[in-house]
Amino acid sequence: MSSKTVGNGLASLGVFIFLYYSTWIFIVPFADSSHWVHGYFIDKVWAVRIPQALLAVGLFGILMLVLAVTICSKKQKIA
Amino acid sequence: MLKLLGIKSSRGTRLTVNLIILSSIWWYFFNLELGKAYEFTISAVPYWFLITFGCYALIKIGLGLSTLRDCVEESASLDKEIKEAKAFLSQKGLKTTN
Repeated sequence: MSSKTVGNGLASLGVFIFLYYSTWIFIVPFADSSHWVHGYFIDKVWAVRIPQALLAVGLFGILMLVLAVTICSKKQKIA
Repeated sequence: MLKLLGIKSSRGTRLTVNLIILSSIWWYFFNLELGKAYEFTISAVPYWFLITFGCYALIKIGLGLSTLRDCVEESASLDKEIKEAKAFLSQKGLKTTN
């Protein structure tokens, strides 16, 4: 699992996510209901709910990290 | 990212100005009422920006990882120097954890 393959994997994952999400938001709402693209995408409400969930989880994680570091450093100061 | 308009401004000022301009453009289109399909797309553009930023970061990190080059000899000489420094300092009385 060299760093080169991991790096290329991450980069291609980023490209794929960007292209998939862009078509989901900008192309699928404007296609006829019988067009073939609709077979590759779920209902478009999820295109908004997934980022909302990610944002909530991410902000929560950052908050927990900040709290943990603050409490840890306070403990070190007292001890 | 709007060009520094000849006025000296800090990074934070430029960031807030850019954010205000982009938000007002988005707000204008949001209130334009063009039809059901456009309504979904325009209301989802902020999330698209978030995802695009995440993907940009992922791509940057991935490409940086894949083009990083290993310097084997420098790493070996650095290890040797660390060993020498540790030996010297423990001789002088400094306690190390390993």
